[in-house]
Amino acid sequence: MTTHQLELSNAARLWAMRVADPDFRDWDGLTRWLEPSRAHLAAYEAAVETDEWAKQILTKDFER
Amino acid sequence: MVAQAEISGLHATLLKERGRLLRFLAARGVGHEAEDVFHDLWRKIAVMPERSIADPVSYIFRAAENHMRDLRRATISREKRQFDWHGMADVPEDAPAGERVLIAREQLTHVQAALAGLGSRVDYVFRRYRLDGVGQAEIASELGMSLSSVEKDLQKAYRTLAELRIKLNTE
Repeated sequence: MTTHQLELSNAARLWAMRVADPDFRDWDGLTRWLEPSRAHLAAYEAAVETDEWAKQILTKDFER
Repeated sequence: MVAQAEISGLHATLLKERGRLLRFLAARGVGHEAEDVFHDLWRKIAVMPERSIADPVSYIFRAAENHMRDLRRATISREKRQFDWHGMADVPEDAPAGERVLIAREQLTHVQAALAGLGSRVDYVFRRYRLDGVGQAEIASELGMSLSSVEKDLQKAYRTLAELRIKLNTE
């Protein structure tokens, strides 16, 4: 991963983390961050996916 | 058209915030279907029980974000089915249920170990945030921590989980 890609995925992960807060309000900030390039959106979606993956694994019910 | 008087609070908010919301949807990857998505949100809001919502603007943006996640999940599972059909997926969707449970259990062990490795406070803060759905400000006051310490703990957990996921996917 290049430095640029790494910075992008770090920033995207921060957004995914902040959006997970029930009190998150900065939707315009997220819009402005996503707008400059489709790479931002792709990084954000990857970060969201990882967040949901972890949540899903930790809440899975294995009793059967 | 619905008479103006019948438009509920949330629908009124949706109309008022239309411009901002369409800009968000465009940034969130919606192209020419922005109007369709807007109408989907309109319908979703229509079937929701009447109750007071503290912050209707944030509420509709949250609904839009969730809607985009649903759309993406649907696309991914469609692509995945196609991929499975070609026999190229590592864990086909039609893999025996037992095998899938085994993989999930294994991943759970890794996630638990990774979080535990960050210390009990980080582990607790992450679970409180992500599993109990408690906001950062509330966690900070519960634990008598500063907001920035809570945020730092969460950042550690998020970074570790991202690294773990990459590792598990490339193993």
